[in-house]
Amino acid sequence: MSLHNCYYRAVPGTSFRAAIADIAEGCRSWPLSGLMAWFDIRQRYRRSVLGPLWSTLSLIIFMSAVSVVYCRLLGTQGDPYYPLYVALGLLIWSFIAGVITEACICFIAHDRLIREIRIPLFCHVLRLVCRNLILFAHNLIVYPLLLIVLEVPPEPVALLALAGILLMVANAAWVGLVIGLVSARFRDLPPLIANSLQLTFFITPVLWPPAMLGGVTRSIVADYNPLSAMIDVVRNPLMGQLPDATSYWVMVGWTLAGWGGALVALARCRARLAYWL
Amino acid sequence: MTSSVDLYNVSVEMPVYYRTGRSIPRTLVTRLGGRITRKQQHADKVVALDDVSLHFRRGDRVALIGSNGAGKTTLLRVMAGIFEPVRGSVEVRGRIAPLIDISAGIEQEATGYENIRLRSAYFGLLPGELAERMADIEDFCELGEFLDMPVKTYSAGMSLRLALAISTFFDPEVLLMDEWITAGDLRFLDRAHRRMERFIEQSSLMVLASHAPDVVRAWCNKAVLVERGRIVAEGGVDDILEMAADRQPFLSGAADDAP
Repeated sequence: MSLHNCYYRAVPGTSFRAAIADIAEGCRSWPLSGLMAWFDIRQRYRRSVLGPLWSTLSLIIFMSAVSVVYCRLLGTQGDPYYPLYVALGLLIWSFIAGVITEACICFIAHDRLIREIRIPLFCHVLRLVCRNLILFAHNLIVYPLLLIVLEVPPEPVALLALAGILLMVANAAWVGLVIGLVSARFRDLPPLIANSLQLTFFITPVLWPPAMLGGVTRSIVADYNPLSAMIDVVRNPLMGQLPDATSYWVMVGWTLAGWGGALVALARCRARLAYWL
Repeated sequence: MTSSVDLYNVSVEMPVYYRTGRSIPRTLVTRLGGRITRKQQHADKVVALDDVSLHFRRGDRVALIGSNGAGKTTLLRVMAGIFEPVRGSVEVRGRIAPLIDISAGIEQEATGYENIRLRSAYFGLLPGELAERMADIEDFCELGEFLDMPVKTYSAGMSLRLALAISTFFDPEVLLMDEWITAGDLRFLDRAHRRMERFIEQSSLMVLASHAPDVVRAWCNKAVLVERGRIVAEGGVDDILEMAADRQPFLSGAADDAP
């Protein structure tokens, strides 16, 4: 039988040990999070004929439409790398946006379950990350298709994207944890995030190359924007280019700082969450 | 492993937020505003449990007796590890089987089988362990082909059978049950009743929140009287029921109504 739930002890107060134990136990029960994520996806596409292909299809449609228009705006007609740039940008963005939007309700949506069965809170965050990662992997089939259509040869540097994806996932987990906890307490956060996310999309180099900007604007929007770095470390290798070293440093910095903040948030909120739901 | 439940001077306060209390601007404003608004910064608190100490051991069949809002369900949730105390500490040994809100976590869009798999994963069962118990679950729910249908197509009775089946298919050690079991829904479901009895017998420690004296007499060997979040008395079932009837006359009325 299961090992967890055999001994339980609770004392009040901010406990980093309890927070770390929650995360460790949550990671250990990753098959549970994976199963929940898989059910979420099946649920989402249950009565649809195309199922998750919809997500891939809408990506292709969006990419084609944007490529045609932006090619002219940016003067990149005929460059086979531009549609690839847009497609990968949108692919990564849909992961980021999915994690951030759904993080708001990652605890709120499962209030009854949280008030009935004691499972690590981090399981709910992993569920969110797994779900978005499955969709991301599914959408990634666009990549080889595009390489063939655009006649772009794949480069070995593309394998470096795996490191980027790892960094992306590590960041998604703390973002999910922090936003989920704070949203459960402050119900103004979900609409605030929904609003600012759209704005962020336009000021983040998803559709346009940051090289087109210059000076201070460029540093703010591209160099120090964590989302820009996140896109950079995944997209650049897949396009056959080495990402900027700065992007890696920015990502590593954010991962460490974010996890530090997430630990503080979890230590403070873990015991109170059930009361806020 | 021996089962035990220990509560040491546990207090629980429920924060109650009204619309303004939960918003970020409000918190910012009160942080800035200083003294006058300080008071409003904190949400109202309902003291749900006040300095509760309880110690249950293996073989205990405990009834939590008290009127609505006395804190029975909160007490169960504290033992289940859902609500953590603001003061005092809790220690529970043994695998906890919560039957507080059994339909919680049932996905309406998912099929019966999917819900069985999900629930077994919540309790950390391995797929092999679930397979061993599957025949028993299928046999008990009597849902047949409906197990392949989404739960939202089930009737109320069918959902209840599924909820009961997936909450009672593993060996409980510390069984925490709320009074829904006495609500009468199950009484006409004879098989459900017998399954519950077996499940209770298997558990090494049970805590049942109820205000139906006949249920308490049938299943419990110990009782605790809870009133406004405090333990008023602890002792034998008959003594406590008598005491409860004196203090809360409606309980004796419930005894008369009981079949």
